[in-house]
Amino acid sequence: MTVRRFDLNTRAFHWANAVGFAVLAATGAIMFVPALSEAVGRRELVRVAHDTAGYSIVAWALLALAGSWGRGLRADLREIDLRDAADADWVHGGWRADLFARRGGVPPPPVGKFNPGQKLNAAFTAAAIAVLAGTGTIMFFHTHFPQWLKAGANLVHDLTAAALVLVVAGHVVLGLRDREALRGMATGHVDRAWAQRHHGGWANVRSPGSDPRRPSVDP
Amino acid sequence: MSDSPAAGDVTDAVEAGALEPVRRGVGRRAFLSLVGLGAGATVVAGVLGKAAQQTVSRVLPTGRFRIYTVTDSLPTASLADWRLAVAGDVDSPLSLDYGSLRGLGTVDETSDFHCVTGWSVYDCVWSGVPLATVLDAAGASSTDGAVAFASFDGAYTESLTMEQARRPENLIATHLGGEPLSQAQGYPARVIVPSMYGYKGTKWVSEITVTDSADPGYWEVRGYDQDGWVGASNGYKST
Repeated sequence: MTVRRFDLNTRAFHWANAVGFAVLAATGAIMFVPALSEAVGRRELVRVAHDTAGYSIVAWALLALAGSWGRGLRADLREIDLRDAADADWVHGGWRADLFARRGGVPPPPVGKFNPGQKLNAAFTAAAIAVLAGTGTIMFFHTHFPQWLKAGANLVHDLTAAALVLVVAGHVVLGLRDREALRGMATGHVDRAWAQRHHGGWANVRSPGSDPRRPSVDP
Repeated sequence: MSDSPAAGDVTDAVEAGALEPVRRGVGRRAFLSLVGLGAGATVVAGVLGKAAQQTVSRVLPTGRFRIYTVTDSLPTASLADWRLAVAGDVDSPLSLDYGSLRGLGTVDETSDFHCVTGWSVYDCVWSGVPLATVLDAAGASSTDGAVAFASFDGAYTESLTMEQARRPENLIATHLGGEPLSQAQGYPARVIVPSMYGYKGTKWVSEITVTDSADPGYWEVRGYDQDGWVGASNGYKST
């Protein structure tokens, strides 16, 4: 038995980001790593591909959040914005039971639709995209900004990109470890038992009458 | 407490402070803090300038040359076939091979290399022949006209006024950091104009032509300033 986790707009947004990130990481590496620059050449083409992919994912994000079709995505953002007692439990050790679950072990804290790690990943990725778009824009219009600002933008763009590559790599590893989570983003549906275990406080799987804000340790 | 409390009890308990309430704005705060950190770091790294950027580049590979070509692949020339032609409005046109170029007299010179897109490579040690020495060898005017450069990539051109070209720090460089230029760096020779952005320094240079006036080069046609002074052109006008 499955429950619905992500609507089509949200999944399309996620996978557009994935494709855009792959293009951006590859073209960015070609422009940054001398050996790759030399092997590929065609810098203008590579730059145009990088800039196009970058502005495309920003435009896609704005479109995906707008309008009636963005209702599900906006609801997810409100989820990410929350922190409750189960989240606190998850941060203070509960993540072990969640990520390294063994049969018969302690159940993970009943976090909502997203656990704090997923919330932090979303906030970091969104912030990194904003920073990369901002610093990238300074470089894109490099005949319109003073050199000192372009220098700062270059450095922050490079460092932010490197950090984002590491975070996305971790995101991919976790997704591949937990195929049900991956299935949720691929098909929009997840197994109900999986959701009850890993997202016990999520409205879609909460048992009637139970309260999501109930701390796992009684006061 | 073994039973789940009913909804009304929870509301009461939260209000009484017995249960930790749901806090809102956590994601927004994290997002805005990180964006603020990025914006702040951009301004701070920019204002601190060379010292900060050099410090970072000691730990991370941010202080290296980015390799640009305007053609599909890196131009190649064999040293035996390569010549630097000095022609146009000169008393004695030259065709210098690598040895006779360097035979004009080489100097070592340390300078910072600034790309107009914002990256810099600090304390580059170039070795080469001063551009003024090459111009003098061909008997070019010491004050009038302009100097055009062309690359054997077949696409790249640049130009300087004679006054700009004769600045003493300008080089026809053959070595960087004590090593012959890499192919990507313009082997066998490139122009170095330390007071201007990198695009003013033609890589894979093969022709120097003395002309009446400075014609727009490859990037000037695409919107860059003809006078590419570092810090005082392309988005920042000092006057």
